[in-house]
Amino acid sequence: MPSRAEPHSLCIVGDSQIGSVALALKEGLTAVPDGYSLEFWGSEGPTFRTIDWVDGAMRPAPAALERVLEVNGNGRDHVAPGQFDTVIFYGARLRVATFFAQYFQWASGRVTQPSRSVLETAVHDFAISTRAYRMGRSLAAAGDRVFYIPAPFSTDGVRDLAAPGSLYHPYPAAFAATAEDRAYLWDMFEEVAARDGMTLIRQPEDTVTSGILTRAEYSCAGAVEEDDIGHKSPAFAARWLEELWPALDARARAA
Amino acid sequence: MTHPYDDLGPEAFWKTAVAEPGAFGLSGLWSPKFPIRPRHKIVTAGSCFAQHIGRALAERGYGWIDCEPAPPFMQTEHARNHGYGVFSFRTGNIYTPAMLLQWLELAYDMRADTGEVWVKDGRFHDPLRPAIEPDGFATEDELWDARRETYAALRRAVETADVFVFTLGLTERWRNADTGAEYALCPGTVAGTFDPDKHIFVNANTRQTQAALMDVIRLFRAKRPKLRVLLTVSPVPLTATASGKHVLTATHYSKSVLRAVAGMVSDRYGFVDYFPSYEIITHPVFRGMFFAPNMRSVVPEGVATVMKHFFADQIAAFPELRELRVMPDAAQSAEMAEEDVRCEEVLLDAFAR
Repeated sequence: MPSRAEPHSLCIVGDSQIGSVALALKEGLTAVPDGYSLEFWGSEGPTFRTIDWVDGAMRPAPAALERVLEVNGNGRDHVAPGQFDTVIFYGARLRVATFFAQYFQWASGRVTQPSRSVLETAVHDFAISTRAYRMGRSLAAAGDRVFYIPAPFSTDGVRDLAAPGSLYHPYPAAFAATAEDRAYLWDMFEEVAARDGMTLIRQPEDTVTSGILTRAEYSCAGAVEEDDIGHKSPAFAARWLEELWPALDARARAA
Repeated sequence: MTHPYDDLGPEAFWKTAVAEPGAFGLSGLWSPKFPIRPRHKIVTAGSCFAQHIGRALAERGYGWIDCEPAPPFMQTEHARNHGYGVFSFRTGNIYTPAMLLQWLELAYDMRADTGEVWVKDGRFHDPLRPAIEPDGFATEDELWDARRETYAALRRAVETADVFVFTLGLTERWRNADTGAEYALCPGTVAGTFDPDKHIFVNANTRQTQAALMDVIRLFRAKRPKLRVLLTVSPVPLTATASGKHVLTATHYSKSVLRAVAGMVSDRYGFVDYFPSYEIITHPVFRGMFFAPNMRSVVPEGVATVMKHFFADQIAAFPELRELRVMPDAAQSAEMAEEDVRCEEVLLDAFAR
């Protein structure tokens, strides 16, 4: 089994979204900072959901183990506190766009913003409903440094997401959200995550369009043919990771 | 020679209406004046007991409207702790007609805000609803923003509702002698500082209670001419009385006044009705079985019995309501895990070794 944590060992944990991270690194679109080692750990969405906090560690259900080991490549069948210097959740089912869309629609029917306490409670209730977020919190509580990069906004240009029956049809106000509106919610997500011991990295503003969508240029290969609004290109992953790397240095632990 | 009692139905006689059927055989306690259909927009406000009515209506698919909903994804318990989803707007309990009148007049700019704010441990509490934010507001601005939001919700409620259900709770209240502001709670209890020179105790009599309620109804109809009003009286006894009397007798005075006024006002107007939830819970025929051991809280079976009578009497008066099915809750919106469709191949591509 792998040994205890190296001083600057990183583990990127996630669902299929981590595929774009792996490709970004493979293609040289970004690079892990000098002095850091990196492992991936996770599985695609349906099996990622079987990963749970059991006996003080993240462990996959037996049916997902094979895929987890395949993704990891180092034989790591669980992730426990202390195994890595830093754990980075990437995607990992935290679909902030769901909150954003519904919040913006809700807010459009109001004359004022809710109190800080009310919004903080709603954001926390949303975040904590995601198992991976809870696992991240457990790692953080045990002393690990944890970053959380949530699932990206759906990709623009694949199909009309405002059309009747589409994902965001019930939330037309979301398409009018401004950078300031998004920043307001991102601030709150960051604060809530910080309260849970984690650093949440917001989606870079220059990748966002139409209120709550990711710019079409970041769609994954074959997105239109496959009708895939979820996955993103390696370039997108590289762009987001560029926000992460400086944060790593800023919060690096003393070796 | 005949007399007026000759032609009365069994409901008019104690023996046939109460003694023989017993507590669980009672029927026809209410002869509703108007049907309440699932498609009607129903607003609820008032004292604690009104919460049960709103919730029961919503659970049965009736059109209870929440004009000031909680933000998305806020857990129900947390939302309720912050005053969301309890009534149709975030006023907290409105115990008296005078308090409801104050809320409405503020919402419609017929009365000026006093600017009064209570401060406790560096947090700000709204004197009209001091517990609406459990830890108080972070700033005064937040407090006034929240107030404006509730005013807007109140206006929406009045101007869109078909039926306004108001549960009268108390006659005892506290007001500010200088500003005339009506408080939800005595200053100094949850927050604020009690000032005996400024904070005046009022135990409203029937005349005062009726006057306030009539003003409320006139305002309702001015803003929404088709609005119908359903009055109830909370069966929940006073927690405490400041009247100087025993709390039991003070409770009876308070409830008697409210019950009398509800009857007087509903008898006066065709669009105002009274539903006897108070009697169903408190009447000796039920032997207090709907009260918890503290003889104050109403147990769920009591609420269920109240609502059973509500719907049964509605159907008895308007048989077509029997055909109306309970509508399922609106489907919970959940983002589809769209990328799952092809996430396996995405991973395989990335991690192919």
